[in-house]
Amino acid sequence: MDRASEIVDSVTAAGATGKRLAICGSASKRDWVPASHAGELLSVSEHAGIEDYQPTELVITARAGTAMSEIEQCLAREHQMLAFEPPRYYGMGTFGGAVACGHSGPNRPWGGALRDAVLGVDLVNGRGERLMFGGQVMKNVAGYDVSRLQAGAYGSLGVLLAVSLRVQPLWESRSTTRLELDIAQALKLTRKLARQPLPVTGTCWVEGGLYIRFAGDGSAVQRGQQGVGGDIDPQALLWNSVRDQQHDFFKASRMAQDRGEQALWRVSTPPAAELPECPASDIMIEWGGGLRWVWHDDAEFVINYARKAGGWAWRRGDRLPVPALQRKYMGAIKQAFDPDAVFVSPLDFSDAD
Amino acid sequence: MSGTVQNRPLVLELLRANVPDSNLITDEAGLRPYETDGLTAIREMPWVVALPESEQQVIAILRICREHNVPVVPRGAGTGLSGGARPHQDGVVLGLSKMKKILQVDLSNCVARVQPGVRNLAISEAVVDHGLYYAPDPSSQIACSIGGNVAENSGGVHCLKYGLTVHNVCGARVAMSSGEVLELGGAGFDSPGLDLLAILCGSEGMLGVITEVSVRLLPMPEGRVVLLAAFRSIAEGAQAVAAIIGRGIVPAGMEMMDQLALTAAEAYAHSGYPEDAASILLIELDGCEEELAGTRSQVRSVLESAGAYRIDEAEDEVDQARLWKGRKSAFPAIGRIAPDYFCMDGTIPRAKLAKVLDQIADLSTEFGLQVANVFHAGDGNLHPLILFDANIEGQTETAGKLGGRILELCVHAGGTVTGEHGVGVEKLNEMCVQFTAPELEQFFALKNAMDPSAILNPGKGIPTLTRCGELGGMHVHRGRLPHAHIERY
Repeated sequence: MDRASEIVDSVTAAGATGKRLAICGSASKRDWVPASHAGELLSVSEHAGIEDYQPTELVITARAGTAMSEIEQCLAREHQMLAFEPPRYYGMGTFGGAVACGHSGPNRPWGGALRDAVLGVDLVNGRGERLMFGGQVMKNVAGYDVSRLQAGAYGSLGVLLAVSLRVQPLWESRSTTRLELDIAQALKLTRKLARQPLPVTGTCWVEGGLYIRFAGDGSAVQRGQQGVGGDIDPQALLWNSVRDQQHDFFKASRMAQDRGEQALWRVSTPPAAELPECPASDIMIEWGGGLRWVWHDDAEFVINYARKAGGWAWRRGDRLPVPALQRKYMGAIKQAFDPDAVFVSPLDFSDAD
Repeated sequence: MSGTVQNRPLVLELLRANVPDSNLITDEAGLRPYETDGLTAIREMPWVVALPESEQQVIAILRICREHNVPVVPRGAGTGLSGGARPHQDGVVLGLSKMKKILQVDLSNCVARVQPGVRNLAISEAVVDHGLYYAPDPSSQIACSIGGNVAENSGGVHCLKYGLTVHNVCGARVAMSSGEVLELGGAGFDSPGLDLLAILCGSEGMLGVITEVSVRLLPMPEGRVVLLAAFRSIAEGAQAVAAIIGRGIVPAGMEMMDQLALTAAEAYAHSGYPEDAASILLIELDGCEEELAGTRSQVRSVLESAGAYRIDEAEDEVDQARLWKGRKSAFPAIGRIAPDYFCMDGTIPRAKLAKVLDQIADLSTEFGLQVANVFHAGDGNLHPLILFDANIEGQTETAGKLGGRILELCVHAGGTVTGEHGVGVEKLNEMCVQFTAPELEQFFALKNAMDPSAILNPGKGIPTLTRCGELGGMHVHRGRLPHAHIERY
């Protein structure tokens, strides 16, 4: 259903009356993005439908409200996929919401992030102007890369009406191996693998085991797997449960362990960074070492650890921690797209430290 | 932006206090090499060239220039093809060529941290012994600098599989016109907040000056296969391109040349190209041995079905280099058959390849100028080369007009006026075709957010609305009339 003109009207009206709008898809990422009560809800979930998809172009263009599940089913029918494996928290998620939040799944270090797949956007800025940037072609350097800027902008700069994303052929074959390794050995091995031309598409250390997923050409997968050894893990669901944060590790109260006062932290570091000094059972490591989920009760400990490691830490439900100088320029960009601050943003654009 | 230097002696004195004397060029002979970049048709003598040796010096230059409202034109190796580094007559060319240290090769994170003047190829050379390389390979990689690559978001023949510069850069330090330095990204896989690194890539030196870059290093593929396929028509070649992608194969590179281009290249490089072919495809596959065996036979069968009447496969690395040599020397080869040429850079959806090439052929007849086509077929990035003779009166203008029409074709086919060379000063007019007035205004607002003093590379990349209005050519853009609110006269 094409609701573009209604969305444009809502933005224009909000601008004229000084109303603020909180853009929303399916609200599947509500655990991570702090809820905002400041604005009137602008739902884009009805602005849905695939606008253009020609498999030989390796591009799909869809309206923001299209369910991610519909996109992925449509691609799978043509033996294609989104390389960044969009998370579907609570089994939900819209195309526009995925782009606005910019979260990527297990294949991110090898297949690229969501932002890497963005080719073009159809956007309504805070002035109610409908603008198109980028397009449907792989290479495009005409003007600033405003479309890629929307990935992870949480709708701060405008309402996404439609997005074009690059797609890739579906993996011909995939297989996961499990090695019984402690956390330090696991990190060492994943870094060693990163320097070899192997079809690795996921690593996850959790509960004393390192899972390595190989995917792509069948013979390359087989060879990669044989080289690494370990047991073939029949538990194909592991990757989806990690991607969608449905794995037991993400649940505050697990069978084996009560998390008590601990909060879940997402810590992004250089992949080979030192491990945090806390019990291994409180840690899950993805992305070849670059993404560390940590349960911890001491915010200062986690933040300092991340900073020292050359990364950053984000506690579930908190605002994103952006350094002050960057925030200043981000605020200026917000102002450039949305001068009257029509769009409520979960990003912090304040000047304060 | 006043565009004039109010107080030249004072500014020069301030620059001298911050940059070593030998790195400040003011004499005509010294300035001459900087009057143009890779787009040699467009020239302008700068007022001063400053070659800082450190980030601190870059900051000092920016502060002085902002204070005195002096335009700053950042420049890498000067190999850009769209005039992005064309100097400003009252401005400072900020050349980063002296900042060419590889600061750190971080093998455990597979990241290299380098200064902006480091040559693209030098990065791969520095890590080859570890089995790693830096993937983007613009054709000028032997000379072009990584800072310039970031500014232009450079591509290359392998970007279909490995992406552009933006996909392979993970961090940067950027000196803003305010003198502040933004530290973006790092060796990790993401950063919080708006993706400033994304907009800096391809910003053509208009938002900030890159003073340090971190790039992702990849393991070298185990093996390569290079195939050449010859076709009796352009349509068959184009069909083969779509069919290969349709089979789920993403080659490392997939290049196409038409007859005019391939015969010129053959005469120049002796690569063994079949001169009777209407088009040839060069396809590079990479991966492990077992994988290559499978993909190679699939690609061969697709090529045969698409009508390839001859398929050659390089036997070894030397042979692969031979097949590539013709393609890689296509531009100089064309330079031998015509006194002058303009190189276009439009990108179109792959499905429109055959149609757009037909239309280009029609335009070539209409304008009476030959057009040779060499392009990155895998990603639909065309490089039509318009042949002309600048010594024949009016031919340069005719060639320019033909170029404009070709780029308009690309936009109408759902593509873009520039895939990898950038807008610079060369494609400002064509930007008016691709973008509406509010879109251009949005670009300017973004520029103003990052460079409020407007000293960085003024007059490049984004055309003013006045310019677009004065062009007069009315193009219906995505069904909308552009610049509807601008007065026309």
